[in-house]
Amino acid sequence: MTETSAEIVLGCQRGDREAQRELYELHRQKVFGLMTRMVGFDDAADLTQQVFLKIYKTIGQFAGRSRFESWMYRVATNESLQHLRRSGRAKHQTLSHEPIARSPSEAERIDHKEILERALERLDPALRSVFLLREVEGLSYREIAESLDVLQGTVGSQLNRARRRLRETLVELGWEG
Amino acid sequence: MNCPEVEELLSAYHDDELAPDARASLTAHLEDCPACTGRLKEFQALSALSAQLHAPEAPAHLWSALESKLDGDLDAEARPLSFLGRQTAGRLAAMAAVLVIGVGVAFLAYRAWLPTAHEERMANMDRYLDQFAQNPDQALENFSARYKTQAVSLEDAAVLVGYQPVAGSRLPQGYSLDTFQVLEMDCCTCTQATYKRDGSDTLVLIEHGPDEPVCMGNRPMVNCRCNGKPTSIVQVGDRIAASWKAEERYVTLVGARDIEQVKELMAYLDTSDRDN
Repeated sequence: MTETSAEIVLGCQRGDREAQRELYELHRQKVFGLMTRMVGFDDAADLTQQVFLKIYKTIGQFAGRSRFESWMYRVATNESLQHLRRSGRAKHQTLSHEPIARSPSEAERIDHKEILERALERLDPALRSVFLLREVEGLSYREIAESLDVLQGTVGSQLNRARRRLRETLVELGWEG
Repeated sequence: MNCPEVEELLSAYHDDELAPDARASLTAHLEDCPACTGRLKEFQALSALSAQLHAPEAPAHLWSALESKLDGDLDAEARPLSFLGRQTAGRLAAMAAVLVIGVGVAFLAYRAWLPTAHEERMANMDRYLDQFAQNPDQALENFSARYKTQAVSLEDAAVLVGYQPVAGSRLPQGYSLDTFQVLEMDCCTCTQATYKRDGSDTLVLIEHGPDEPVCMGNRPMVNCRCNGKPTSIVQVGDRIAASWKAEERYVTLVGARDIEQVKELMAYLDTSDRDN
């Protein structure tokens, strides 16, 4: 996980625009990627902005007891879950995807990826966030626990559930892995 | 360990999050349990599939949109009506709200078909950059004609705008300062320096205030670092325009051949050794 220097955090806490921009450049790809998986491609840009605005607004509350990235992921996850609740998509709803060009030679690989994306859409958002933080963002259980404000032991249980449910859905959608 | 215990710890085992003792105990169970081994393989297959998920590219315009919102937030001020009684303040607030809503609806209906100042600025910049790609001198002439323009010396410019423009910096060999103007644009008073390289290539340097975020039209923008500085780049025909922050202000360079030329000029322009 990319390290955010204390200098950048302090600069953002002072409202320094250059520090805010550096923070944005450092993490925009990660935040946007997570938002795409959580709320869909169409809403991801707006949510990404929202996440960074929230970060800048509340960064004064970051006391440095955990890694900055864990705190950032907490803001991002909370914003995405709130958005899904407000839009009535806390349960499954089809999320939009980044348009991709399809060629016959890539059909099989893209099918598996698309099947996984569809299966992720059907997963409860809270479980989806745990799965993404682990499998896509590569966070440790401790970092996930800090990000989601849960006990570290809970992370393992939630991942068990997420993986089992995803596998069931994948098989329903025709995956043979 | 029995199967239910293993199942509970399977994700932690797969993710290498177990303490060594627990890990060894679980490994021993797996050696004799095809069912639990099968479940572990399912987790492994799922991780391999997840590795194929690619991260979509974040849109290039996000920062400027975000910065506009940050600037908007800075302008907003809350003035509590604490000096009035609570009921009076409440009634006044309710009346004001009704009035504001009524005016707001009418205004929004009117504004719906008018471009915002920001949209107009973006469109003007697009026209300027499109024309610059074809004919830089004509683009400059049209751009200057659009706004109140004054050809000034660097010393006078410093008085007019309140800062020493970076255009006064020494330049690399082969570059010469052709014209220097102060422009009163809608957003702010800017300085515009035109350089000639080897007598023919035209480059323009626009310097604008700290409250004005980058405006380079509605075209795809790439954000990168040049000489360690966050820099926004857009295509201008077969040239590029680049914008970065110099001290407290934004500087936009139009007409560079490539990023190397941007870096070359940036290194000279950002020195404190300026001509007076």
